[in-house]
Amino acid sequence: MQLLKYIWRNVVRNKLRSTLTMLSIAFSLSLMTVLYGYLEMQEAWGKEAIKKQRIVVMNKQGFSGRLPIAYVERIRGVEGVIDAVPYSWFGGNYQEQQMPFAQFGTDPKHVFNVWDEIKIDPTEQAAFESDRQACVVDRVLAEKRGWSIGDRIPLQGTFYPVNLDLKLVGMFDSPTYSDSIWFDWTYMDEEVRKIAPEASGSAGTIFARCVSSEAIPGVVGAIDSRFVNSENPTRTQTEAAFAQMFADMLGNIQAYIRNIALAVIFSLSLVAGNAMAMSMRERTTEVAVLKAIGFSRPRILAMVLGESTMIALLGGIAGIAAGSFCLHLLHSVSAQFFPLTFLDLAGPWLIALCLVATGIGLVSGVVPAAQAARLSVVDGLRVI
Amino acid sequence: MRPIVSETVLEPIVRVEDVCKEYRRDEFVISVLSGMNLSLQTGDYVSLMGPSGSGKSTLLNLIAGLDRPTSGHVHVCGRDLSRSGESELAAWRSRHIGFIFQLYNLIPVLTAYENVELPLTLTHLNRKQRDQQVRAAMEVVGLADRMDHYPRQLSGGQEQRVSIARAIATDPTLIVADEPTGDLDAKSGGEILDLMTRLNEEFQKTIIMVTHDPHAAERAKRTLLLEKGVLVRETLQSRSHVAS
Amino acid sequence: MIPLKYNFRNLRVRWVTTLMTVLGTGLVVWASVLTFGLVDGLDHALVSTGDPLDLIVLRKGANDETSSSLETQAASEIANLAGIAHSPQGEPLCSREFVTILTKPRRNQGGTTNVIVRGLEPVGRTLRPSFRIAEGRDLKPGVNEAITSRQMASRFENLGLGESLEINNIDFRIVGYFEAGGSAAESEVWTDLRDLATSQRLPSAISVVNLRAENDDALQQLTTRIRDDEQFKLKAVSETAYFDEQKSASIAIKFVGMVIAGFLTVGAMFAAANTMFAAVASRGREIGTLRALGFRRRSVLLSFMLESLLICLLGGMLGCLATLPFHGLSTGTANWATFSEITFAFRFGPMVLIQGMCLALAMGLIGGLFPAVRAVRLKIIDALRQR
Repeated sequence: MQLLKYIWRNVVRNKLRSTLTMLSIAFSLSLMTVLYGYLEMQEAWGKEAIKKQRIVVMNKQGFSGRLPIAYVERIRGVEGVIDAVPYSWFGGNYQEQQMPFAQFGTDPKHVFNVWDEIKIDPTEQAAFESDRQACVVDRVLAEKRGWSIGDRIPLQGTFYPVNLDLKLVGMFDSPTYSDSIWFDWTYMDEEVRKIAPEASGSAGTIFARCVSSEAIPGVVGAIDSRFVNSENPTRTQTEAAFAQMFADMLGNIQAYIRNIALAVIFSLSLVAGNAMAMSMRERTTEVAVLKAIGFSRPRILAMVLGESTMIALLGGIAGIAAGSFCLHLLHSVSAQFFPLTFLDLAGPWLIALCLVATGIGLVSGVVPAAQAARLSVVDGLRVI
Repeated sequence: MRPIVSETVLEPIVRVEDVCKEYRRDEFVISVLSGMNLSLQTGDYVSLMGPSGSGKSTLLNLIAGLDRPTSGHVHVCGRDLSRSGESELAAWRSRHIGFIFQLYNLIPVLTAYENVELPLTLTHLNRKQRDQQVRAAMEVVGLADRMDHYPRQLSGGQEQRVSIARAIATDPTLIVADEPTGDLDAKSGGEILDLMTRLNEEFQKTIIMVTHDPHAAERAKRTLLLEKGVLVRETLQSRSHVAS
Repeated sequence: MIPLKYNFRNLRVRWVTTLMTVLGTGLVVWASVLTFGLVDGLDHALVSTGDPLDLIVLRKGANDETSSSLETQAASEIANLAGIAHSPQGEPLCSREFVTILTKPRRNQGGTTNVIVRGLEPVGRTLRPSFRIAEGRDLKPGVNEAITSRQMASRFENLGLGESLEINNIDFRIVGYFEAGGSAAESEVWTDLRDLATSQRLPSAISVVNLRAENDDALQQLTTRIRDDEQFKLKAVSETAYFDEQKSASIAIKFVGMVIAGFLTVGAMFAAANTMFAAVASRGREIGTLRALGFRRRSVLLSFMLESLLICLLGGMLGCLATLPFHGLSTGTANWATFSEITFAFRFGPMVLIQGMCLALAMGLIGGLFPAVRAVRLKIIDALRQR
């Protein structure tokens, strides 16, 4: 305890210097927290999806390919599939805003079987099934936009040359905020057929739920082989892999983030090391006196390293906390791109960041500590 | 540097009138000088002595324009320092005062030459003129051969001599010395004091010096003894001291 | 003014501290300039260095080429409109093109992403800035051949010279590399219009028509004529405007880049301030002496700020220099507007480097301000009393 007390006293001895060092570390680590939190989010989103045993079917060529609506029924018949629905991304504008939230055309009678973790009031679900122009939204989204049941929600099509006039009939609750609105695929398809018949009849993507995780590989194989020789061959993957595809698109951004992080850690070690060296330079006499009194070398080493580590940790934790808060803010502002709350995200990576801060503390203190430990008492006590 | 033609000057070069100096420390008011009166004529060589806390350094600072009195007036070379602002005082100091400090206070990263040149850079002299002044000053203190040395390459006595060269380089009106021999051994100290006597007698420099050292005080023409912020005794020195 | 050599020499005397601070700030400038270079490269790839008289005709309501489709009749009628420029051979500079997006794997297990494949008529090449075949040869229509850029070939599987890209179970052989002035075209794979449409089982598919107007007046007329047509719902967008639109998608990246640079700079500011505070603290008596000798407060303040500036500018220069090995390094990311990948290269032009040095300047000025103020805050007599 004595040691800790002495370390603490030294930390607050030069408040200005310690504060500046801590702020330096805090700022940089808060940035790293946000960047890594973002990367984590991509991964965690994928992992979450694994639990739900859903698979996604696309045209093998990609998003521009057709996925005939007839496939949905056939996929339902595959062994191991509980239910399947078309899931067509509309991507329309709402009130002059471009794609302010996700919009999907799907099958109202089956969609809640595929997403069984999403709950809705049975009356509202019935309304959704009965009205072709009905739509349901995430309750959180409705609150954000101030919508209530009965509101009209018009969407202007960009990818599809149609406008949709939707009526809000229900709100669903999802364990993870999805920022989505669901409407009847048939309504959209009818409108598209009026204007561009050759573009109609495509499901976009098909989401299906399997009986168990073990069944998934079999199901994937069954679906793809069934359509491999057709005009529109398919590519089926787990929901997690599908999400990963989006993350992949960001490409080298991930590499870039990692490089920046390395540079930052390096820079911080230098900064903290510099501050520590400055402090120790002013205390040569003091260290000499301690040694004269009888403090051993390992003890001196521990004191200096303890000091540098404490400063780095305090700054680091402050930074990580600030970064975490930012991540939380980002989620509430834009759930489309930051789908998970901070609590969902929290995990070993945060501990890793704390360890990074500790590492910086140790590295920055190593040289001054070694110098202090090696200082000869006579040299230290000599007045220059 | 040319010796000043002696003339009868009626106006004292330094006039301290009813000066009081107080410091505030939290709620406490500490009175360092009370009702101080003092005057110096051109060519004077005065030493201020007294125990710690007597106010001698404070008085020196006031005369040098480094500080301002709480009440009263300090006139140096006809100017009322108590009425001058920070910038004005700075400019004034560069022209009129030469400083000699106990710890020499040379800039470690500048050579002896550059240290002496430093106050000259505040004047309007061009490079060639500055060079002349620096060399002349270094000649007077006898260090012409060490101009390119850094302070750490000089002994204590040599550093103080450079410091004196710096003090006289601008040909100031008044030389202010704070414990000039405080950090030196007897021999070096003696050399410095010889130099100062020479400045006063040969070059007619007015010198006011704070010191603990009785050998130093001996060299001055007058010694003023302060105690608790008040002048208690003035002694006049005989002029027969021989340089060592 | 206190001579500059005073500052230089002080920095040299405490060279370890100076070096560490220079490196610390240098790293921050490096990271920031890298970010700016990335953003600039992205911008550059989205800029069309093409002719300001070029128009892209799309379906009304389509945001970009990939979501647009035109009827054959519409495309033919456009080719006959007055005001379209002609080649020296008398051919109208009007190119019908079909654009599709395929999901293809990157090399080195880099995952998959979307690639733009464009089927176009030969005249389309004239409409791209400085188009030329860099290696191999141009494709022959009717035999399922394709050409692409070197960058694309190095980043994606199956896009190398002699390799084959599979489109809907049909193999398209890569027969050449092309260059197009560093524009967005270099992020695409090109083939013949008919070949691509046939492979997609849509023999008469057309996404857009690219054309060049004769002059500014013709440009205006054509735009209006196409927009106001009652029969076909189309719009004509100038190429520059089209790409500007896409840039807005990269604004998010720019914003993030600025934020990153800002955070890092603030962090470095604290580091510079730390060093300068220590310098001021250890030179207390010196400062007092300088002021006693007659140097004004502002001279001393300026002197310390200059010292801080010197450190940071040195760091800035090192940081900028360290980014140069990355110049021209190509990479890719998602162009969310077209939902496909755009290849671009890091660009460290004068603007980017100046931005980096400005950051260094800010670090030095702001980081050095408070220590410099502290240097002159003390009364002279107190400063002289310091150790």
